[in-house]
Amino acid sequence: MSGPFQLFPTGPDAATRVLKRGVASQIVGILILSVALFTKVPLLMVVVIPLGALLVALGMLTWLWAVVWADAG
Amino acid sequence: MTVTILLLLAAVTIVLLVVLTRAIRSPSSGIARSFALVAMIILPGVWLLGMFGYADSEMKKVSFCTSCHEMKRHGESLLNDDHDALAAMHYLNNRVDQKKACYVCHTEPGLAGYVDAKLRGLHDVRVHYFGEVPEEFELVAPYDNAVCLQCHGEAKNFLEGMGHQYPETLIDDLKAGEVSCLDCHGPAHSLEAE
Repeated sequence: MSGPFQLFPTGPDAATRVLKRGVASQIVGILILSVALFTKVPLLMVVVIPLGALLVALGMLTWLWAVVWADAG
Repeated sequence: MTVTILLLLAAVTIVLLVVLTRAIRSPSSGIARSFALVAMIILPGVWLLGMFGYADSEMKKVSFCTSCHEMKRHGESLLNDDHDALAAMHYLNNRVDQKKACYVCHTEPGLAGYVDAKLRGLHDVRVHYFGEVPEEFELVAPYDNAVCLQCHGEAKNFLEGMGHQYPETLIDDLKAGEVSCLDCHGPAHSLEAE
């Protein structure tokens, strides 16, 4: 990441920080998905499933970013 | 059983994620990376797939469709022992998967039909919570014969049945959607009997 701007901070500290946020995002995603699916309220299922899946997927992306890009950078 | 497995998997995943938050200082070591891979990618991925499958199967159930009060009459019409009502005859005689009767008969074949059903479901949920529900429902589009033909299309009583021989072009017309199955085999739901 060279140039006038450092768009994404890299390095082990940044990787750890981002990973922790990713983990938090996944925990929230799993919890709200569980509540929505087991209560089976239609509105919750329709709205919360994409939201929960997005939060879990965001956590996955942070892992990818942290171990592949930031930590190696 | 599925619910129990999914709950257990969710609990294990959350425990591992909490451990990961507390234990990992940096994902630079091989063990840490592997642990993070399992806790953040593999387990949540498997869990998400399981939940999507579970949610999909739950949302196809008659009980889900009739959980909105607007659909109560249609749901109850499945139990009317009225020999003219197509939906009830299919449902009561087990000609359609009873758990998924609404979905099977209101979803056109193929992936496009699946996506269309999901989009129509989204629309229905929006109207249920935020819109104005009409007193009488109408299908958003003419009932597609393809839904009937996915089961009956190759059946002998469809291809060779006396009622389908005259006029000679009737079967082709039905397949082309120029004549509706419901013109002769209706009504679909016997709501008047309520």
